[in-house]
Amino acid sequence: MSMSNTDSDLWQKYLAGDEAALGSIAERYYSTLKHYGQKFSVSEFIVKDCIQDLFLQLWQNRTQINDTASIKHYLLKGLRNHIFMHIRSSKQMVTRELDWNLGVLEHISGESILIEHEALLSRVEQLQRLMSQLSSREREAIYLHYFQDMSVGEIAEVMQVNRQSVSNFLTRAMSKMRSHCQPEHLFIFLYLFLKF
Amino acid sequence: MTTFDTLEEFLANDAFREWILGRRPQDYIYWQEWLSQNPHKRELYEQAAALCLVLNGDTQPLQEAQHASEIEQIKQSLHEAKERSILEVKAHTLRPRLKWLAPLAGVAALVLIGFFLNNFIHNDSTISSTVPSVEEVMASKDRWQKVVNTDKSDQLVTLTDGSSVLLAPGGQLWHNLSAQQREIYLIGEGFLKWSEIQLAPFSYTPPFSPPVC
Repeated sequence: MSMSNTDSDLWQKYLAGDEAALGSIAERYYSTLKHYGQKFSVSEFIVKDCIQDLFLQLWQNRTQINDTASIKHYLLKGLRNHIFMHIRSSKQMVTRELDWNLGVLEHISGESILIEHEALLSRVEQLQRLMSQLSSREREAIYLHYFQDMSVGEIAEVMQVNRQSVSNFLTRAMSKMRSHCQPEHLFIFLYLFLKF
Repeated sequence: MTTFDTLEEFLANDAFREWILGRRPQDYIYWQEWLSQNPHKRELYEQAAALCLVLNGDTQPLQEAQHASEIEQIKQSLHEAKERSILEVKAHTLRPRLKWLAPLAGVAALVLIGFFLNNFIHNDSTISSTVPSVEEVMASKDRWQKVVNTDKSDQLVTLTDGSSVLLAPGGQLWHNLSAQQREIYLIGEGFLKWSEIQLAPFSYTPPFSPPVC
């Protein structure tokens, strides 16, 4: 299957019963799905299983599936549901809240992105601390918005909440991120001001 | 062109994210140039870069090779699912034919049952309808015949050897007439007059032991 096929071509072929086309879709979005899936507090192995289940289910239900504007969003939403179902069945309790996992950064050198390494590390550390103070939904919303390029409407669909909630998550999360920057500036400013 | 005045603008910019996460040498020159032209935005740039890395999380270098094998697994399982569904489709195409046959088989079964049932009922009715008149009863090797007088007056029954019986109402006469032996059972009242032409002995049994039939 050539990679020059557009998403929509592949989707049409898949709907017409071409399993190789669905395989190509899996190939195209595997990294994105894996990346998103691993943001939830489940093991990599479970994410892998959930992605496989997602594609098998897509294949089995192909006659009930319609055309979609964005395959990526459709898949992310599907994966989210699969992971959610997995967590619910393994924990044996009903929870609408998904833990949002914060990865640790080990392999990044500040210089490689034109930032002094120590400065980058301290910023990353502070941001991770801040991120851990956000709700898991706020974290997920900013990830989907800034990392997966999803609109408020699309995030609302993936996270199964209304658009207003998504807007609130994003505004609150970003204001926390910003408010972090400013006091520190103020301290530096005061420090410099008092020094001279 | 993005002006990069806010954290959001950095984060939402594809080129910026690709640079921070991909760290390609060709982008290095571009961003180095950009930073030297916009020194006042370095603070935002650094914060956005850090946030971008935090959002991305830790990516392990091994993942790509691992992904390839996992993608292969998905393709394989999809292929197997398709093979299974082809078999299921074959099974489904057979089933409708059987479904069309099912009512036919049902009708055929009903016809057969009806035929046997009808035959049974019919046989039954012929037996019951002959009861008041002459009936042939097979008892061992012999051939017994029964005559019942259902009339209200006496009835004269003439047997095949010329003998005759005058049977009272309600009387039953059982007779077995052969060349070797002539036997008669009588239930109820009757006058017997036997023919003397026949050489075979005539036996009469009192009327309480009709032959087992």
